[in-house]
Amino acid sequence: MKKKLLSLLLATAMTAAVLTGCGASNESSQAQEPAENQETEAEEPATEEEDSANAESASSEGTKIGFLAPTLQTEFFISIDDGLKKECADRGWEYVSVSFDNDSAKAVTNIENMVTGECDIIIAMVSDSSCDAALAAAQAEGVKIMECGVQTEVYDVCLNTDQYAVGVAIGDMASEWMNNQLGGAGKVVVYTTFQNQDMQNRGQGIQDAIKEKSPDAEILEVVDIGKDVVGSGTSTTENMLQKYPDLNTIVCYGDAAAVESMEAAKAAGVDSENFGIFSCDGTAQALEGIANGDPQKGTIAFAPLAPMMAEYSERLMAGETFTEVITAETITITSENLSEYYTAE
Amino acid sequence: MKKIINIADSYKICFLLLLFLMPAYVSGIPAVRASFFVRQITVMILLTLGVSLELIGGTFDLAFAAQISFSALMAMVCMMNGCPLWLVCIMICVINAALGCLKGVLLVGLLMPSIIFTLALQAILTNFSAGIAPNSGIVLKELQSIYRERMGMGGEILLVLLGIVAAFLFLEFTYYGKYSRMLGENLSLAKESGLKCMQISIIVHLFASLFFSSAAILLMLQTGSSNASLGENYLYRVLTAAFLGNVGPFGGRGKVSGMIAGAVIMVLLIATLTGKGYLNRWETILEGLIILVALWAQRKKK
Repeated sequence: MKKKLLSLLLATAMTAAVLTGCGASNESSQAQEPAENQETEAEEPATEEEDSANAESASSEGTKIGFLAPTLQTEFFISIDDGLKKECADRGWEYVSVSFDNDSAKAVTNIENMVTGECDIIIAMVSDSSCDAALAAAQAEGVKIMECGVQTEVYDVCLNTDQYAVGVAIGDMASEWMNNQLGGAGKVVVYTTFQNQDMQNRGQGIQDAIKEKSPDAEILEVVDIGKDVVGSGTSTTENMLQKYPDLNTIVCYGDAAAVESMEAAKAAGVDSENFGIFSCDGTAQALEGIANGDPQKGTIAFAPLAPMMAEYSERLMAGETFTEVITAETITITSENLSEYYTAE
Repeated sequence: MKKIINIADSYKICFLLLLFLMPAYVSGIPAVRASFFVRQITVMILLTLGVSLELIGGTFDLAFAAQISFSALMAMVCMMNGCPLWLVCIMICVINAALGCLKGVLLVGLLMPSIIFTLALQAILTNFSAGIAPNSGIVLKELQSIYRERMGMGGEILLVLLGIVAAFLFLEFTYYGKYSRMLGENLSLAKESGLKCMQISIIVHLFASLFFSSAAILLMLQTGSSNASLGENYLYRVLTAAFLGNVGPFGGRGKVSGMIAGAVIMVLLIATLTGKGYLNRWETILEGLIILVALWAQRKKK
């Protein structure tokens, strides 16, 4: 009797946990209703422009955004996640985020579950077209798809950047420093990844730019640093420093590996003034390294992605359609213009 | 309170209650959302059946996810070089069968702790996969349309029903299935009693490999891709599903009904956590807690 009672209690507790989730969803949507009523009353004496803005915001109220990221362990994606949380909170939207950890099966499951969880827009930073069937099924359910970073065939709006051009910008930054600081005699290792075609393009852009702008520099090795796994930059740099004692420049495809390389280089006692690390993403850690005079000498930052994603989500909910890929701007940040983008705390 | 808490039996009540919740998840456009759940539950049940059969036979398998991605990747490499789909499906079955045999031999022949050799196997297979194929994996989009046209929801339901019936018949009506429980409970006693332990172990692992092969083929077709990470997130989900379904972690215990219940509960739980935005923070915590509680409950019962 006691066993059955305990079993029943445990089962009820588990089900209550599930039902609580459903109840929270209802409460949050109900909480938005009095807020909507208050807003409507306050906006009665509105002008035409305000009317259209109100119409747009009214159509997007109660929106739920789902963000699918390759990982939520690196600063770049964490910053997008945090930014989207803030943007959604400001607009009164619901927000969920998941990562698929380079497992396309998990990505497909997450997309399906976000549709089941009644997301209105899925912001998918997928790696390739393996999720296209799931994204198409989501579109069939009326969910809007925003792709970012990789362009496949299934999307309602795509925010992307020419990754080869980003690579060229990184390579140009490194070349300029090598020419000025080292007289062009750079001994370079390039960290790239073959996770997807876009990242391969970025890595190729880096190499081509160095070969063109700094012809006296020698690319000692191009390393496939693999998945954006914490720790890979550290171990790879330690190996490279041992293998190439005259190494003086590391050019990375992303800040995650670059920041780890910076710490590994400092630990190895390199001359920070004549050792340069260059990368992309514009993370706070990379900017701090530049500010402190560490080996990190430059990074390419993207215009803040989260506000851009939120803006286009709003436009999607208002019924706007997009035929062209939206290009995100990039900014080259070195010690010369660092103060415009970073303030030491 | 000194009586053993029979936490494991609660899954039966949970399953019944959650069945009533399922309509809430499949509301909206029934055909599309139902297809999501059927797809997820099919893969989950197939993997849970495979892992559970091995658990019953005494193998705590940490390598099945790596096995799936390795076999699917090999198949994709062959497809890129012109092999037809039917041939690569057979190849996936052969690879998984070979790995299953190896596990059976290592368990009974060399008396290695299963958790150790499967951990080593996982490391070998994962890094081997990463070494032979680009990190971006291989994508053949046409597989997705082949899957939609030829498989669909009906095919998935048929496949999972076949798997359930096969697992039930194997466990309850075959020599190898019935005596695999004894193997899992006490290997040395099973040997002393004259059982053909090596044969039983190999057959059980071969049979389990059929479920892994099916799951590998489904995942490969559904995503139209494969890489070293395909399916790796199923590792703890499936183990949790097995323990939730009252399959004994130390061998000898388990029923097909429990395996199905555990798999369905995990699919619904993951869907709920994803929809509410709690997946990243709570999934592994909950899975770890469930595994710990199940291990503790099983130990108490012994």
